[in-house]
Amino acid sequence: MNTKHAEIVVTGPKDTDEFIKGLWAQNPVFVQVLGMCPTLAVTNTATNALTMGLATAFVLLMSNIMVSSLRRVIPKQVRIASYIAIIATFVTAVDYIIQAINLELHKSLGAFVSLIVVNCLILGRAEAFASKNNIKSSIYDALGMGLGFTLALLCLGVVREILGSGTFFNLMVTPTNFEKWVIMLLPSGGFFVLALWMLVINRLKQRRQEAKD
Amino acid sequence: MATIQPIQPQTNPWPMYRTLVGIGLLCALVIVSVFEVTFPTIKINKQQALERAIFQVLPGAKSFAGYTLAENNNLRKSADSRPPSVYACFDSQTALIGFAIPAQGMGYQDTIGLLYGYSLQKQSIPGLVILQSRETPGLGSKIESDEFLRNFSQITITLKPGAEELEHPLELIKNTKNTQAWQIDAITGATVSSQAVVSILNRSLAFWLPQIAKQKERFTIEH
Repeated sequence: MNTKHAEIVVTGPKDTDEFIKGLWAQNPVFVQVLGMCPTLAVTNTATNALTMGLATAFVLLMSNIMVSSLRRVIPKQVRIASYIAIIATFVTAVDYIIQAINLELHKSLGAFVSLIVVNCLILGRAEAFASKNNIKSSIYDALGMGLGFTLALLCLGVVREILGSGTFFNLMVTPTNFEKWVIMLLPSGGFFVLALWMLVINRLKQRRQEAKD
Repeated sequence: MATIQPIQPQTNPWPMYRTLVGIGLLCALVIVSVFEVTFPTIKINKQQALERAIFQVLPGAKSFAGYTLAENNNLRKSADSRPPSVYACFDSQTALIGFAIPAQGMGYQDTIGLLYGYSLQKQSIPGLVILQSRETPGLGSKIESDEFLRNFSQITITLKPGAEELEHPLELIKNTKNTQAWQIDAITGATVSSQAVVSILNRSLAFWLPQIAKQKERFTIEH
């Protein structure tokens, strides 16, 4: 009698799942609450938020690729020092690139570009993901997390710029008699907007869960 | 009784050294490559930003030359390696019309960096731009507004006979009517930032105007 043996195939999460998780289920800002310093400090305009998000995403992508490629040769005792050196390298690179693209933008971001080095999102992904996974998955993870971070910063930047300056990407969108909310340009305004976005996102998640149940 | 010491696992340090040195070299290579590629563009961007700022603070200027302070406060034409202390500005006929002077000082939050023009003919500050400021948005940041900066262009700044000190240093006033030509109205809610700008200008003018008066013949344009 011929018997067919069931073949158990162990599959990991698909690459698209690695990408999508950063956008919603594990969003770095709204869910993991990582990288709060730039989230609150440089989201006073949409342009600053977008630039900071893209710069962080670039550093995250490049450092994930390098950490993943070198994961077998980095001894565990010196892994954190190695990751920091790699991250600092790409932060320096992105700093030069922004200066070459637009000096004014570089000026408005101030020291926060250099401070991407200490953004725990990047070190966190290097340690938790890139050091344990292949390059392809690490790229998807970095793209998802980077895009998720950029979108979250943009959500804050748009609201703060409209209420604080009356503009959207430097275009006037409010009536001339609109009283600007100065607090929105201060870090405390960042806390308020972040709290409101978290409230909205958690409410949406809750409703989704209730609909599933 | 002899105590038993736990055996410490011996770690070979060689792979660690090798990794750190290797990663260091790789990182250095990446940084140098990016720097080499971007440096020419960054240099052009900085030069263009400087030109824009100089021509903005001294309308009528068509060219400029940077001068650096050397020993005994002597001014010399800047070499490429050192940032100039002052820019002599010339009109289309290559006549010296004034100076663009960078200055900085402590504001409310952080250092305020600015560039102002000094017109020799009008003996006034026709333009002033804030280059660096992290003052409170909505309050101290108003030092960058045209409304505040316009105050300075109305004032004549001269030296006392002897050309050693200012005749009337700028003076900040608040809540009172401006009665003297050298008085500047403070921004409501941002007295510290307004005072910082006035103090930076006073210090800088008190130093530079006597130097300029003494060394006027040094400022020439070369073709």
